[in-house]
Amino acid sequence: MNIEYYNDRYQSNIYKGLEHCFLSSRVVEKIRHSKILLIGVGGVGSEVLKNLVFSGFVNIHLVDLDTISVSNLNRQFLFRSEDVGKYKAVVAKDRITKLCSWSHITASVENIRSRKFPLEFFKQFAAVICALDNHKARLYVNEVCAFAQVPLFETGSTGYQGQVIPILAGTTECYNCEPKPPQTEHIPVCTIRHRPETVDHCVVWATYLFEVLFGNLEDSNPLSDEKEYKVSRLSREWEPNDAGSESVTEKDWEDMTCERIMNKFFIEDLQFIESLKEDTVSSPSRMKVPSQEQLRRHLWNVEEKYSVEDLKLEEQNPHQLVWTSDKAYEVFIFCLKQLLRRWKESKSALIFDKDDTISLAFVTAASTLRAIAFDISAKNSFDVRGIAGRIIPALSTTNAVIGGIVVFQLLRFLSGTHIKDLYNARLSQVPRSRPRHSDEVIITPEVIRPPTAECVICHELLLVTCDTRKVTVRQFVEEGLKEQTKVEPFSVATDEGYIIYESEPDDEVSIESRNTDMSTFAQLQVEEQPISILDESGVHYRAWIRHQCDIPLLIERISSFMDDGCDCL
Amino acid sequence: MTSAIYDRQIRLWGLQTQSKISQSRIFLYGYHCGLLEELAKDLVLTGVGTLVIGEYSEVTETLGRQPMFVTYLGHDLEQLVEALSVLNPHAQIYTVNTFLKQHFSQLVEEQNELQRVSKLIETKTFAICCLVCERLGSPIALALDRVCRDNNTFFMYAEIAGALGFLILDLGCHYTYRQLKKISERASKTKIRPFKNDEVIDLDVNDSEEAKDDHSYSIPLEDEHTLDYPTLEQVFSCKCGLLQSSSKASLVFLAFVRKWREEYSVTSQQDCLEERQRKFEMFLQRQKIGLRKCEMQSLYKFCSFIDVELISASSCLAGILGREIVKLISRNEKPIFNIFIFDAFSCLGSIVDIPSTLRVDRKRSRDDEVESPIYDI
Repeated sequence: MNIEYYNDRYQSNIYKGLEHCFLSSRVVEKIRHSKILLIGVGGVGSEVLKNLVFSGFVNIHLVDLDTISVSNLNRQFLFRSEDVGKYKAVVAKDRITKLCSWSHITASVENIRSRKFPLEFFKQFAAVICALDNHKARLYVNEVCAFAQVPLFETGSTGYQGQVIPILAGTTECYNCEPKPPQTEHIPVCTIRHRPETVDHCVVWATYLFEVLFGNLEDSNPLSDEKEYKVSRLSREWEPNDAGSESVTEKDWEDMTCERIMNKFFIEDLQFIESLKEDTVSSPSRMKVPSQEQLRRHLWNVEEKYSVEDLKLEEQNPHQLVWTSDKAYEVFIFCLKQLLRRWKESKSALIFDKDDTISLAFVTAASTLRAIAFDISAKNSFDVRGIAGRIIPALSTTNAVIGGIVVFQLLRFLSGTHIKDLYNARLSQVPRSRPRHSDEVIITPEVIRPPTAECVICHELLLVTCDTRKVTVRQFVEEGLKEQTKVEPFSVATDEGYIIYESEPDDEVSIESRNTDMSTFAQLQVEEQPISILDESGVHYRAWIRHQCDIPLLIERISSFMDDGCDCL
Repeated sequence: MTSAIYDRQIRLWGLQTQSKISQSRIFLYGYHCGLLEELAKDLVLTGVGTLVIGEYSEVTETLGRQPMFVTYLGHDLEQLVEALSVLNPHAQIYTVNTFLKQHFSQLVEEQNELQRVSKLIETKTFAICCLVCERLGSPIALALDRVCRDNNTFFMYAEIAGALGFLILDLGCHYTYRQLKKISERASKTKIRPFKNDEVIDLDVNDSEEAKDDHSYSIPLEDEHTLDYPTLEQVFSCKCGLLQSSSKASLVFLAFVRKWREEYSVTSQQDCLEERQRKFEMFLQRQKIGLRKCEMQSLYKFCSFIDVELISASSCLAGILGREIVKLISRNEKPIFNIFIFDAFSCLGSIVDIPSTLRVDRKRSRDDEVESPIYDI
């Protein structure tokens, strides 16, 4: 049997299956000719791509800017160990085309927010499937699909759980409708600084410590008032001064800096926290504050004891014993010295990277010492890497379930089911009971809700079409917003915070920025991205500017997709 | 180090379970369909040590009408095994014939294929045996379940009919598992078992007892539970019309699908949808099953896709099945007890258990002997 025989048989089985399942031969043609956009070819994306192709879809566009790493190989089955380092979109396209020669896949190694994807790009697709792993990118995709009026199928998978959410902004609830809890739970500042209760709090403290010492100190860092401990400042204290006093050797500088940092963060701070506790009626302090002697002892001989290779072995071993306080002090000093040298060489801020052994060991040591001080069970570097690196555990089985559900729902949609009549599906870790049903469920369908009233993406979208080389901000505001749309704008700004119009500009604003008035959109480079408009009565709009040659300015309010939100056959 | 590949799942279930997975031996049998490929793929990616795959070929050759399966990893089992080996070069993956030749050559002489498979299970090589898509309805499943029971092998029955998927587990009458509990955050309250030296524990260690899950965040608790599973025969002979379950209609439909396959598997007749729906009505009458009108309507629709496969539904069922297999290996969680039903149209994956009051051991009647061939082992 040659390959063509099998290809014909597979295609025949696929299309017969569709016909029998959806009781229509027109659905086959529809699926054959629909273009689908798949954003993200990672865990869920790999499964979705395979399901799309073997459900009869021919034209699929992949977008993913990521490269393949070793830890992907337990679930992203289109990739092999020799592919590590290559681009996911490219390898996925090659592999799936080998499995399915009649498919027509386009791969883009780009950020989905790139200007290479204008609104027109999205409008060519029958549906968009989002298999991304971060909140910000999902918000963007949600918004652009709303502007393009294209159905979006959102997916997510974390460990044993996952979900599929069909979205058509304005008709169904969109990704923006319900406020999402931030990916990391917000931990109160006082918990980090004074009252850690779990090892996670200690790890987070340690990453902030890293940032204070070596990084770009942001205001959001709870330790931001410890600016004087920035290594850049500490190093100035020991530079030879003009008075000709003895210059300090490099080794002395390192030792002094280590001692200074350790005194501050492992003695002084802890003593301060202990003094706070004496004032409150709470359980007796279990904190163990080291003495100066103990700290000094650890400064000697760390170089001979440790190496990067040893620490790397430890971080790869899930069973590695948690460090004793002696070991944690020694590793802390060893890493601190390595990082000081690194900082001196690079002369610029260091950024914590979970894949860098020294940075990880530093954070592990610091979090261990902190945990010991507060009588909290510490964790080894394998686990700390997961916490500090915000690693999301993932399984091929969860992705297989989610990848299957989303493609089936897409098939239902394209066969004529109204998007409102699809389901939000949730895969749970353990079976749950449902009201009015006797059986427990692992995969739960939820009825899709209408948009929330306050959601700007579902209600207040303005599509601006004009010749961006000719239309100025003033024209946009006067002829477009005020005349056509009857909106009195208070301000117009991009998401980067660039204000292109203000009805009451600051007197202190310089003449140059007032000139945006007469600048064209093309000059300001604000086309093909969402911008915010706040009107005088406080209503927030989102607008999208797209270019079309030689046409008069046109602003349209985006309302619900078609009449009734179904892609009728 | 191979644990780098499994990093994202070790963080979920720990090194001990991963080690057990790498030593597990699993047998997949049935028909080369998408569900079989998906399940094999998921198991291989997860790191299963040994996987043996078999296809019941004697009937395949006589099948007048080929079921409309959707496969993509290989045209036949040999190609499938090759493709799976590429996915995980460390796994030992065989077809039944190759495995027998290498490890149990004396069994190769058995005339009857099913007898060869039964004798293989009797060697107690496998912890888990999974039957995927029996085209004949029930006889092979029942036979395999009996052999597995007799040899302390966990048995799983997986069936796909278009947009519907079914999973029936028979883990024996005394299946035990333990539940993991969270420990106190307080260091002073935590007992960490001391190691002899500061040894690094390798994933390839032969004795998994050494690789205990005593690492920093979980210590298995001695909280043992026991489950008593019905046999497959008890499940199949249960009067599902009497069930008080929301999934009663789906189970009735599974019974019909099995019956239909028994009757139609060896003919080359094409039956049209109306013919099938008529047979379904007759089936309900004979079994004296009453269904609500809305249930009847959806089941009429299901009749149209009994014989097709949709890869999206198979992918989903395989994911659920793969997860259950890991549970059986780790023994740290309660498995499905005992039937799982997936309906892709309604996005519903529900669990049904057959109450002991409805478990009946079916006595063979004369009708059975006339209507279906007997597969005696």
